[in-house]
Amino acid sequence: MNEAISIIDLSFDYPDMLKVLNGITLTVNVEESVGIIGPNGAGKTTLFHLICGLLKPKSGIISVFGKSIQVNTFNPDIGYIFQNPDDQLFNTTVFEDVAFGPVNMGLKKEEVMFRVDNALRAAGCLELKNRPSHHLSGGEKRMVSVATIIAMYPKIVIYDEPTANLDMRSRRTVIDFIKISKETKLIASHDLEFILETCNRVVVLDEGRIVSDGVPQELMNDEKFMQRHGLERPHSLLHLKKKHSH
Amino acid sequence: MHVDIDKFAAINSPIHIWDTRCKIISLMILIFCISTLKSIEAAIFSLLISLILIGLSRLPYRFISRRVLYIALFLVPLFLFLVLTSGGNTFISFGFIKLYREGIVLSFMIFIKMISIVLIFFIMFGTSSFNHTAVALKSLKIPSKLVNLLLFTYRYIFVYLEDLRKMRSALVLRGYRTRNSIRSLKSTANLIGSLLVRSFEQSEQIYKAMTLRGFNDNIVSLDEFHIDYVDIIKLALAILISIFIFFWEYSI
Repeated sequence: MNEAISIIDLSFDYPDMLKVLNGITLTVNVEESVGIIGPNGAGKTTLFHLICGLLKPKSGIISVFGKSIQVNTFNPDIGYIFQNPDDQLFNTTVFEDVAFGPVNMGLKKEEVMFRVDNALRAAGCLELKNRPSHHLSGGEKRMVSVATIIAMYPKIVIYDEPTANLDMRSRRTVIDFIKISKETKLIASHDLEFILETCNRVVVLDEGRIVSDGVPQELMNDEKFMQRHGLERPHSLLHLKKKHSH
Repeated sequence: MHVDIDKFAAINSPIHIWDTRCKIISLMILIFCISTLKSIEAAIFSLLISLILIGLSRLPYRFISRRVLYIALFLVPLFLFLVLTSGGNTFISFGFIKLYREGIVLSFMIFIKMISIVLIFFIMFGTSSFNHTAVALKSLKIPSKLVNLLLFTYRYIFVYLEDLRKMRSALVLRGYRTRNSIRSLKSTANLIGSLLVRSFEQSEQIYKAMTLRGFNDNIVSLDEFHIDYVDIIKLALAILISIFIFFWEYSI
């Protein structure tokens, strides 16, 4: 099967906000790297929470590898990296934080140790292993929060604003890491240059609807379309000929 | 100020290598005995025991003394209140202000007992990692919810202290000064209210993050506990000391 995520006619309301998502239909294939862009309040984070099973849809179907998502049920196939790393690092040391998922999966101690080392090495922060999580810099916290997820060996990784509040060096570390990682990826970001570098497909979400889905370089090069949806044409595309297809 | 009580949990000392469950049981019994003391002699003896335990634990004195000082400062108003209002024999008087002997003795007693108990708490939480102590508490059948509460309070206190500092700086940069005025009180109340709302919202996010990593209200840990005969001997010794203090108190 080539489909990692299948979403059919998904709608969601909050009690105080109606039509946060309105008839979303989206398919993400295995090993695809899909950028989700859109203005604030477009519904990106809500969509991610629904895919993870943190929220219950009003209507519609979400399947991951052919299985329907169960609300509030642990699914180690999906890893979600929160926008704020402080939401994700709640243990006293980096080791305990990275081991938290594998331990809850019921793995043996040796396997947990192996995964923790592997995940920290892959995220380039093995030297932080015994440091207190709350004493790390913003960039270090971000990479450790990535390690907490990849230690569970998820098949799908969802990144919510992974470059928010990062300096250029930390941002580059995140980009390099995402580019070489093999999982299916869903990435929400306002950093459109980052999306251009890391995604082979981009979905534009606005007012709870998918307004476009396509190749990042082509879609984001359409200046009028981008402006219409509260976005800006990335600077790196300015040398290309403008496109007006949407 | 960072209050990481388990900063020196990796030191090698007879207290550090003591099985955490035995350590908690022994020290809790000792704390209970100290809290019931009524004689100064027994209280001073208990302080001596606490100091010996601190010495054995090799926790840096500077690390301990600074923190004990902060805690002791909270008791100053109570001491003043007791010394001035307890009644009984006058120790010294300045015009109509009288300092009572009974108040001074009682304050001294409370101070000695408080220092002893705080020192023992430092030994309990400072000689094992906080997570390990939490797991040990759970294995001693302390309710999971209580242990989780303790664990997360400890973890997030740093985050919220930092948030509070940032929010206060933002207020100061907009002309806020702490004054005895309704406006100042209102600003402070708003600050605390915002922090509470933020912490509530973040707690929801954290719970989501934990659920997504398999958490089901139960702390699972890689930590293993091994009790050997040395742990049992230490436990027995601590219980004997507690019994000794307890009975000495009644023989005085």
